[in-house]
Amino acid sequence: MANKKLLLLPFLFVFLFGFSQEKIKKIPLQDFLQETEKKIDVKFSFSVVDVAEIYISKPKNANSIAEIIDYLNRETNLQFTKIDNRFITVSKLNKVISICGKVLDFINEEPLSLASIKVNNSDKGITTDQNGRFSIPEIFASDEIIVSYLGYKPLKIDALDFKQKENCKIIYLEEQSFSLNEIVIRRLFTSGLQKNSDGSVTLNTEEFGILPGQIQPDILQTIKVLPGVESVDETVSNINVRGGTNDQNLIIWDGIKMYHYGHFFGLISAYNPYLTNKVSVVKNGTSSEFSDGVSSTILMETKNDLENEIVGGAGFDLLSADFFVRTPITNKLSVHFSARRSFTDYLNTPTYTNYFERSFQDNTVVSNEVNETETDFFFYDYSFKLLYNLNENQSFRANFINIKNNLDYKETYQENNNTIVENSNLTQENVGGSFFWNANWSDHFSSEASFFYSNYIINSSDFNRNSNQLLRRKNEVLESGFTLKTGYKITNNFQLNTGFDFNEIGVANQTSVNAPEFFVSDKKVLIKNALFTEAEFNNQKTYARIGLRANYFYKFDLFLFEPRVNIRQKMSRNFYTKLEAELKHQSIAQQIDFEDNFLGVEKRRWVLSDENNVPIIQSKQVSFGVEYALNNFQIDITGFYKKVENITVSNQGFYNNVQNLNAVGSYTSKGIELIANQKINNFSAWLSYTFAENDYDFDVFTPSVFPNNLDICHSLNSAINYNFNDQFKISLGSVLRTGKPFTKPVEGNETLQINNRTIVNYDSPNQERLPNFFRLDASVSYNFLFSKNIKGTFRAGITNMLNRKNTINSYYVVDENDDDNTLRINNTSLPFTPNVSFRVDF
Amino acid sequence: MLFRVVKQQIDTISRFNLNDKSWLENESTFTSVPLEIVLNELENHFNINIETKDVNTNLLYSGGFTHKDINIALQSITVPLQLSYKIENKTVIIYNYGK
Repeated sequence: MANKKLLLLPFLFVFLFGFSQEKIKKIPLQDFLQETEKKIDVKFSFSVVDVAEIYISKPKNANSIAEIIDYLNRETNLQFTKIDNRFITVSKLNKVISICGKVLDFINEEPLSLASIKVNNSDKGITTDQNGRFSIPEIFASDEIIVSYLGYKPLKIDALDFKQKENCKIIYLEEQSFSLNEIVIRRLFTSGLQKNSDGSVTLNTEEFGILPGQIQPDILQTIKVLPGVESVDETVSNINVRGGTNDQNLIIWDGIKMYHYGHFFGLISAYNPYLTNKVSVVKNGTSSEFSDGVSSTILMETKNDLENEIVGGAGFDLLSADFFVRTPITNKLSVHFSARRSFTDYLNTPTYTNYFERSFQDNTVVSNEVNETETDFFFYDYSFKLLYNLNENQSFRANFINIKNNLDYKETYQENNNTIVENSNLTQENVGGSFFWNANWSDHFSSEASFFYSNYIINSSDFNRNSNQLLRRKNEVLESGFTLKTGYKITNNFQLNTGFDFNEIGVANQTSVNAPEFFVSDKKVLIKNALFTEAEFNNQKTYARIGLRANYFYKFDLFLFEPRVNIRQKMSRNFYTKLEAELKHQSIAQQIDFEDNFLGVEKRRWVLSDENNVPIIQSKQVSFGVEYALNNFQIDITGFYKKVENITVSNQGFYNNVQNLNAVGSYTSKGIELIANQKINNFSAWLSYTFAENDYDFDVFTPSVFPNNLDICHSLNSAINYNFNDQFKISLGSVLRTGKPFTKPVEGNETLQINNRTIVNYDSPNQERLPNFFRLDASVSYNFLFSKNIKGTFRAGITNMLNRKNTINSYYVVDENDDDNTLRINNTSLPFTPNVSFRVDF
Repeated sequence: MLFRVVKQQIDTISRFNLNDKSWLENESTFTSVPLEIVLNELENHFNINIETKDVNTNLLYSGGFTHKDINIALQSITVPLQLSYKIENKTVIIYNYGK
């Protein structure tokens, strides 16, 4: 290595020397003009200031006056014009130059095609090609060029600024978010993970590197590496932010509020990562635009730009196959489509077997003493997006998504010498759509009108063929909303956002049995209106977003005022402090049923607040942090305090004797989160640690204050990534955390008789703790080119390399053979699970 | 050494150049001379009256003008200084380009 560097040195000298030689050769333009006048019978007329300070090298092959004029026109920013045989004018006036450039996105450096290049105050204009390139052969040097692209901040550039030798000018356009919120850390943990001024973290899937164990940028799995984000049972359908239950996350996909987001009943995200462009996670200091989700807001956005050529990809792993395509229809219209389907109903892979067992352990599906079973499981998701740009200032977007999981299960068993056949079916589905109209009315004023619709249905049916009995259960959420918001930029550093929100949620719960005929149905609807406003300020030193949201519920004649604060202040060159605070509420929550609801696979049902048994959940949170960044090293320490009130016992789900009580209580979560991140060349290492304390306060229990189900005291995520080169990358990481609390039965008095039923006599809740959770994951990624435009990527990942048996939940059941005794049931995490994926992108 | 007095200052910049054939070619040449002086010369040679509109007549000009054609002469002065002109009978109006 050292030898190679030494060999390079002489070349470097030659280069530097050659470079300085080049400089010496230049002479003042004025001298050159005088010389020419002496040699050739011409006279140059010029303004002295224009010519002063201009140096040129003597032309090598220019002898005739025409050649010299040509040369001077090319080399200088002055127009040399021969007005007769002797006189040549030298002027800045009517100087004609040719320009060329390349327009790129500031963040991902992707070319922007069909960007508009206009000559100011003229009707001259062109658009960029598919590589973002453009050139204008003849343009006045005094002209001004306006480069614009829908959704980006337009740039004005003097034509003279293009005058660079040989290379075309690279122009970076920044996305016009009509938001002053900017990226402050471009690379958090791995490329593609960014931190913004308001403290939120954005995942850009296209640039995303690799994370241990992951074979694709699984959106919801990825956010679990952030401090304060846990999943106590490893699933994406159970994401716990700062000690909150999963239903306290607001999950939005292209403006559509989602109620179901994981396939395999939660083991993998249901969103195609190759179409989802950006995912932002907000833990505190949320914009007043958003309501619901007292613990977090997770915003997923798909690509929002028009395409000018077909882009697509296809791939498979050991569970499913997928493809996506983004194609232009006209200059102003594009269509995106993606679909994924599992082939688990045709082919059993080791990955599938592990996932299946993990998802369906200890429920009716795998626990019966069964002679013969047949399971059929599949999932699919597809999404569709229409993009139409009316003109530079107005755009329309329409989105559609459908996510579905289906499980068919047939079991045959013997009971009292009779063969009993049971057919069960479980479907979980979310269908949604949204529509956006964005308009920029001036450089200062913009508006967005949007509408969304979301429908979540979970259905289970349990059919006993012999007795001809059919039990059906259904939980449905239907939500729609309309939002109008405007942004007014008072100065470049200060803007006001204001909006109105109308929202309607309906929730239905049904249970029916055919014989004897039995039908219970409960349907509730809640209408909510809100006005929100916020002032946003950003001057490189201070970022501040201060907002207020006023919510009104007709049904309860209730007003809720929610202030939101988000401030980040630069203290010195590398040192920042930040303060976030918010009040939030949510009117829909999940209730956990321990009966074999939905075959025991999905035990949670959505229920709507009625301000009676189920109050509106309200939260208050404050956090304060410091950030230090020096070159490739970053450290971020944040302390938080969060209190969530009006949660119910059934919302949290305890294993205890009073679990069916509609008791109302609260939880308080406080802690410290730490991120450290170091990058040295091809090597990067990161660490994310959370120290937290999370306690409930429920009057119905003694003691009334006890650890939260989700109380994880210490949680440490760490990883190292190494890129051998651009093609080959590896990642190794670990998750180590305290076990969650669980409840034991009363010793020596383990069971209880209630109305002929024997139940477990649980002690005070959450007094015991599961052992620590530890998992080691690894993944490798290799990519190569089939041809110039076709890229292949091979990835392999292993979850739980050490095959450690982690208990993620424990509860007790009455021993069937001894009514006085109980048996402990342990749910375990994924064992050693390999997965591979291969995909082709064009 | 040739002297000239420009705005009460003695200026020695311009040297007599034997190779400069302008005196043979019926033309006037200047090196770093304020526009005002150049315009005075022009008035004398073509026997015209020149008016300027919002023009900075202190701008330094190098070059020359022919005595043969008033349009060529005016162009070789106005174009480098980003000016325009209008001829109305015996009066020439000089103004900023584009105004």
